[in-house]
Amino acid sequence: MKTMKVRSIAIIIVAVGACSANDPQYVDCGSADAMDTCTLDSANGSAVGTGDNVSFVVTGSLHVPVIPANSSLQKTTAALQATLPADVVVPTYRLDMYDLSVEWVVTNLDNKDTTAAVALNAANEDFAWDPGMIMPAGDEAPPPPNLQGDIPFDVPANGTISGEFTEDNLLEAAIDLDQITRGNINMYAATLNVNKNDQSFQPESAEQAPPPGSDDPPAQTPMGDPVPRSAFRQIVRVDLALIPTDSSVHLTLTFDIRLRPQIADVVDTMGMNAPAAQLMIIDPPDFVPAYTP
Amino acid sequence: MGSRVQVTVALGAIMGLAVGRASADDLIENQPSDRAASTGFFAEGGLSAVSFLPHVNHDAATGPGLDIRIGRDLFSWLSLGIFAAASMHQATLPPPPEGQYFQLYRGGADARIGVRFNTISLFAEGGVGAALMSSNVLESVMITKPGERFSIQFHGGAGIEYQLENRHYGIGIAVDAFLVPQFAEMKAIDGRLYLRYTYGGG
Repeated sequence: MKTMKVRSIAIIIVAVGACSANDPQYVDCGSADAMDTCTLDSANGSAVGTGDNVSFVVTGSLHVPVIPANSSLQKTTAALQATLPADVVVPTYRLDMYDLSVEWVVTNLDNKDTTAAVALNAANEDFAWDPGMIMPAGDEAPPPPNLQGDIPFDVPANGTISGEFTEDNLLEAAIDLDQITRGNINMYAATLNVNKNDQSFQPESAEQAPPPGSDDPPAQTPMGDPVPRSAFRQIVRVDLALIPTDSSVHLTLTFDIRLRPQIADVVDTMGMNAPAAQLMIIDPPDFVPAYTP
Repeated sequence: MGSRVQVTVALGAIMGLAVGRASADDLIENQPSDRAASTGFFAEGGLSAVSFLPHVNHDAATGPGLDIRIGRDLFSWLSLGIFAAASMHQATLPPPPEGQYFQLYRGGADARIGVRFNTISLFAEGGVGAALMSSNVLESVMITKPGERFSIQFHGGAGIEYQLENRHYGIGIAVDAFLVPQFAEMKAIDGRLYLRYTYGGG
């Protein structure tokens, strides 16, 4: 009888443990922020960029439903801050708190084959990345990079194409964004290198324009202490861009965020349908490098 | 003529032996009516398939599951028990999301009444409990509401059980229907194949 009780308790513990795993939460546009957009329509697109870098783009944003920093969140932030140098600012929403991925579907509403691309950008609690805001100095400079995606694909007439920015993609995007905005790391270098396994990065001085009479910008120098992975900023807003090759073809893009919390009490289980007062909706300023080669 | 008599006698002898052997077998065979079955505390474990009924079946596919149950036979015809069940389903709602799975956990208490005919028993069961959906993947089709993961659930069904020669063991098939009111009145069928072990010798 005792053995039966022990086995029964073990089964219950396993069952409860299985139920409490970090199950995903699917975040759609809700009532908390009317500016969030989960469906993009190419009819609402516009041309961005200059010169050879002009492209037709329609963009939309969806927030991660993070909750305001409660006492528990503040305590863990303060405890981590106490272990780090003062010039390494520990963010409230950190990389190890939740994982994100984005699923999307592009639908061609016209009876004409076309091509399109989907690009992902993002914001953390301090900066947003919008390549459309950046004007590279050189005439022949490549366009400012998106954090992820921007790979053209065929969309058949009246067809549907689905895709996903995986958790690895969003992890890379979060680290690239932090490296570009906090570390002053060159945007091309940050986005072209694989940084998702980086344990730290060294902030550098801001990029400067070449001195008069020279084509080479001055070298960047290390500034302050390295930022450890535990203090990397996580994404709090996802910005998606639909980039049709032919602006005359009517396309729509629908997307959502798949969120997996790794700790309790960092996101609201009601998603963006939670009352606005329960959420921390962060729209930081766009980051613009001091100089872009 | 003599050989015909010999053949007839031989056939009669063989038939007589055969009849005699059948009679002997009847005596030693373990008749179904003699098969014993324990009553008392019992545990069941089973494999199941859970299939949703309209309208949820458009957005969630049939999936495999596991059921465990422990209980007590109060009488040979009545038992009470508690159960836990988990099933996994693919969300087949319009994308996004696409190709995602969710788990449906159920647990509760129920009563079972049955009648036994030799090795076979028939039973009906019903109960109440709670259901938990592992994610809100069905929120976009309004099967769950924002922030809602739990619901009460009711179930009822019937089954047939075969008593093995070992009086502690039985195997059975059961089909239950369950209703989950808070999940847009989700209705589903849970069909399971199970093995039962009954402790004690009562």
